[in-house]
Amino acid sequence: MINEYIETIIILIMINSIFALSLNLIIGFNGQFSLGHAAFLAIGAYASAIVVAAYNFPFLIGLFVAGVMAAVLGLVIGVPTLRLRGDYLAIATLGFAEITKMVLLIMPEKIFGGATGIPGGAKEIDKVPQLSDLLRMPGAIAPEFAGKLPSQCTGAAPVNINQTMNLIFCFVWIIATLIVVGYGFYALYRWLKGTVERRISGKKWVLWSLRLVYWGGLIVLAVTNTKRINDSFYGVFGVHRSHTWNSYLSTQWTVFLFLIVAVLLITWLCVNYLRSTYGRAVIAIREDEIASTMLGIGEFKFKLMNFLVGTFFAGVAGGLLAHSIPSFNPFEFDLLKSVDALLMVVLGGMGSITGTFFGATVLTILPEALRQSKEWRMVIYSLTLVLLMIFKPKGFFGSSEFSPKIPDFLRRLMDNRRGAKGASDA
Amino acid sequence: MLAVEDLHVKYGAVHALRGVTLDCPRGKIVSLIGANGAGKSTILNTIIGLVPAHSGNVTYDDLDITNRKTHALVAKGISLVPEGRRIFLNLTVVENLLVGAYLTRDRKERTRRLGEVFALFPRLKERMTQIGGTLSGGEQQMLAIGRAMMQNPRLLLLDEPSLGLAPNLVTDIFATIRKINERGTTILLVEQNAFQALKIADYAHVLVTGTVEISGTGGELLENSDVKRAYLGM
Repeated sequence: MINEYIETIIILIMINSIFALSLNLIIGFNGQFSLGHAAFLAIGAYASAIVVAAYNFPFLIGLFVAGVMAAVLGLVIGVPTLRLRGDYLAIATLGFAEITKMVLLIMPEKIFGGATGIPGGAKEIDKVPQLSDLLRMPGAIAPEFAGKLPSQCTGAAPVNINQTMNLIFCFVWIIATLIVVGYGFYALYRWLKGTVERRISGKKWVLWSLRLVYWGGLIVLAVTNTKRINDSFYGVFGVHRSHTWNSYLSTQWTVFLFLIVAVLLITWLCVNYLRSTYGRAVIAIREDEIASTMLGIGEFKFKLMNFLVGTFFAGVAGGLLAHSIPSFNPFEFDLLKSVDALLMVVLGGMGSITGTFFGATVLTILPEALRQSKEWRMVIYSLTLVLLMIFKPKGFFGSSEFSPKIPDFLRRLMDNRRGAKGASDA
Repeated sequence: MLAVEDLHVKYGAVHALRGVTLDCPRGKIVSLIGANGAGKSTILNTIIGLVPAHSGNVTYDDLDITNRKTHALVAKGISLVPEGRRIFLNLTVVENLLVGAYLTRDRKERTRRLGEVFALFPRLKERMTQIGGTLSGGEQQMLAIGRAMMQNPRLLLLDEPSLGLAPNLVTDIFATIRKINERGTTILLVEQNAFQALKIADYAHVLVTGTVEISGTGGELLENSDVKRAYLGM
């Protein structure tokens, strides 16, 4: 177990990543300087908290509603303001964000909680369920098996197992081990094969025996893993049906895993969006509004569309935030919150997705790391920012991306899927 | 194909176009020449909808397109290669071109047009992955024209394609314009380089302070003594 303080920081890093990424879509990729992004975070947080805590909807629906509500507000704010440019847009969005904050303040106190926020003043909401409550897997195992390795659990199946969930989990576990271990096997095999081919050319039988070991190993792995679901044949990677998700992962790690998947999913969506025709149009508008109009790109339509995409993800980040902090009120979503996100974007690099993650991570950790310096904390923090801007004016990543080398076999899979057009229409 | 009728444009108190009438027949090259500030670029910008017309009509294929939205006109097959090129300096050559084909949803069609543009400008193919801002002036102009060609326009408006280019490149660019025209694209060309512009033009108009002073075929204007004296330096 990681202590709760660190846990909260890790959760905040991931939520801030999503929040900053959504702002980067608007500022970095479309060049529209918005200073009111906290409003969408607020709407997302309120929407999800109310839908889940007061009306008992499932959590994922809460997140979706959070995104949609933020996008609706985005439409309301975007239609009048996106016709403005540069500083004017920044001021107008800032104004609308303040209005949003005040409106949340005067909404019915029973549900919205007024100035004390949720759950503070809201009578209808006792407590906003936290991620750790929401993500607890069904099918708790008997206490004597908790936290034990598969090989330590013998005997009858523990009680209280949700059989369906457990089977699903076993299945996922098997596929996951096959992929991870299988790739390890594959990498080893490629490496050995390369060495063998270079050193001893011509001796075919060496290569063939290598192939045999490789495929044989994969088959053995697959068979033994599958076997372990139904009998008590324990091994290195297998799962027994008496084991559940909870015996492998604590709820804390389930939360992390969920957030990681959320961040990856949103990143994947954003990358694909930016590489599509729409994304190219959005980037073209950043580069030169007049030139893009002359290419047939309806400027306002695309600015608005991109704004809605950005606000939707900001709403989702808000939804996640609502379930990660014990309470919140309208005053938390003020100009400073918007500026925080802006700093993350600028620090990481406008128009860089990896840069956004970097910025979000650094600017979430930095104020916490400086806590020991007491009064000097904000001075050092601000000074760091000033120095960074002097020496790295375009942010750490500029508009470039850092991407790890994709393993050959994955790349080949992707190329196959893309077919012949890949080269010219990437 | 394109007809401009008694077009007036005002920038505040400045009366930039004072009743311009001109005609652009299908499949021809029409050149507009004139001194700085005569209103040449204003005509193109008004046709494509970047500058509002005060009065007068622009018709395209018997359709009144006066003061329409630019992006809607582009969808109808009119493309403008703007003055000063305005390529996307931070995007690569291919990305620039692909943004140009934005209105085409069909991937195969996009790839086909990309091939066509590369055939027209082999130089661009060599520089495919280079960032637009690092291209030379001539290459940037090729890219700007190529980007407009990605829309497969029926009417191509060119604003000063020879601006800031070395003389030998100017000849190349005009040869390319010829080639584009031979494929069936109607061209309306605005140019400072009067000699080259008149040489390739089927019809030409001389613009003086917002009105058309002299009109005729390209050959006629090359022979016209006033034009010779004022614009060709002979």
